[in-house]
Amino acid sequence: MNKLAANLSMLFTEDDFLKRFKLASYNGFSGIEYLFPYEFKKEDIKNELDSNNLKQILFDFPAGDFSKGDRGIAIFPDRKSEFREGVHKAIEYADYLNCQRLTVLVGIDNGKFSKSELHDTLIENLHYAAEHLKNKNINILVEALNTIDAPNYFVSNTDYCKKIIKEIDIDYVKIQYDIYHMQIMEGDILRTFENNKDLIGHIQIADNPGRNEPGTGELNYKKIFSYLSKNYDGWIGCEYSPKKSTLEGLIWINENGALDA
Amino acid sequence: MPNFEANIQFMYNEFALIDRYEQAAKSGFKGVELQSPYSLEIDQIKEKLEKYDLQHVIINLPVTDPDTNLGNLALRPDRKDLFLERLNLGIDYASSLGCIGINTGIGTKPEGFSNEEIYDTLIENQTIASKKLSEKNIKALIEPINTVDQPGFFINTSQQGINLLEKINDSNAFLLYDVYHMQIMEGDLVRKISKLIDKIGHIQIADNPGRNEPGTGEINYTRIFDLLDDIDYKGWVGCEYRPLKDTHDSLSWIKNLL
Repeated sequence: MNKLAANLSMLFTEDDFLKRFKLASYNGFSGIEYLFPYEFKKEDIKNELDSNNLKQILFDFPAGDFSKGDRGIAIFPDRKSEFREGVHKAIEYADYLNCQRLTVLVGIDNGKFSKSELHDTLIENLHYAAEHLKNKNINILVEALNTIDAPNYFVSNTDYCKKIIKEIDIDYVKIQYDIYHMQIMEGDILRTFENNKDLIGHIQIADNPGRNEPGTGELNYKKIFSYLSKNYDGWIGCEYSPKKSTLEGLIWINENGALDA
Repeated sequence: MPNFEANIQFMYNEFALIDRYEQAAKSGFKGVELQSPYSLEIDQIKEKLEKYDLQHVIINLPVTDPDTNLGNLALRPDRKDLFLERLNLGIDYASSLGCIGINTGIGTKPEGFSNEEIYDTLIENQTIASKKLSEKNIKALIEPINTVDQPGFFINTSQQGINLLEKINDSNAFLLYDVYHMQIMEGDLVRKISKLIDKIGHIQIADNPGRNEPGTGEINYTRIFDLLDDIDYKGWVGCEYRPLKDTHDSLSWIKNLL
């Protein structure tokens, strides 16, 4: 059976962040993920996880200042120390929250450096993170994003993501396969998953276009869930923007057989 | 709902080619398409079209290279004469059968020529085809095909198709947007179709992976058909899929749509 994690950066945003845990649990989720925990006390988050019997599935390494357009800092030669500070911050939270997955947002290519400088910096930073996460039972995930929503994002397809993972060649550094982003960038969802499943450590979902609930767009999620339930034993992060309210939209889970055996 | 038609090259393989017209009509289709009608006589086909009140929507040009058996005559700098000969044969069939368009056939990259030579040949051949077809009021259709099924296919994304159309620069040339091929090569179906709709002269469908009937793969065809209504697509949608089992049984997805 598929394991669904509610993404609390996009779901239940009708309520304050710390109140979303209870709503996720109450609506049947056993795991949660979100972008960042860092503006909250780890003790407060832990308390919400424990009292609602939720697993902390994933969050992201600090990724710069979203309000200033940052979508990660891992590629920038001039921000290595900032990335490294972030690695330690992420480890502190992940250890405390028993989180086994940390995602790297790589960053937007701002044209200041050559592609090979950006690539080499990313590799160096991933090695740094991997070194500090050794023997911790935590996976590092690299996520490709679509360049319609995030123009010039440096890693925007599965092939390049795979190339990076192969170059790093450490078994706990993996691909985060976001079906929404990859449907925009390349399509061929099931074959691409099948060809890369050994390297995929986490999946996220939303329909396209619109990034709304599965069932609202061009993907046949019924088929995708049925396939994943037989071929994938990791978590599936529900990272979509509810079309109306979060609660009204949750009917997609039943309608698409997301939790069928 | 869009006007669906049956691709009788792929469907009704339980029956002899000439008998597939009857079967398509039996299923409720008002139109058919067939890549290669050339083993049949024109009059033989016309009789079926009249008897079963069917529109023959499109055919393909016969672009198989007799030397290599590859369907890439349109790309061969050394076989332009043969391409023209085949173009005339295709026009003869298409105009007699009342087709709205011809898939002008592109093919896989031939060996021994530079990409530039090949591309120039393609542009030249397609430009001639488009102009000749416009005299008969038949659209020239450019179809990008996926390189998983056909490695080396020379035009394999919608953008490459659009670029080629710009080079041809003739108002009678259009894109044949095959949803199956484009899902394999690029995804983002709804956005692409919406954006390209003015350039699209024909649409074909199958699910992915497998190229079977809609509903068997990763594409939500309900959403695609709603889109075609929303953007007021007036053309045909060719069902170019391999039925998972029996063709008639494969049609449950379309029962309420014909």
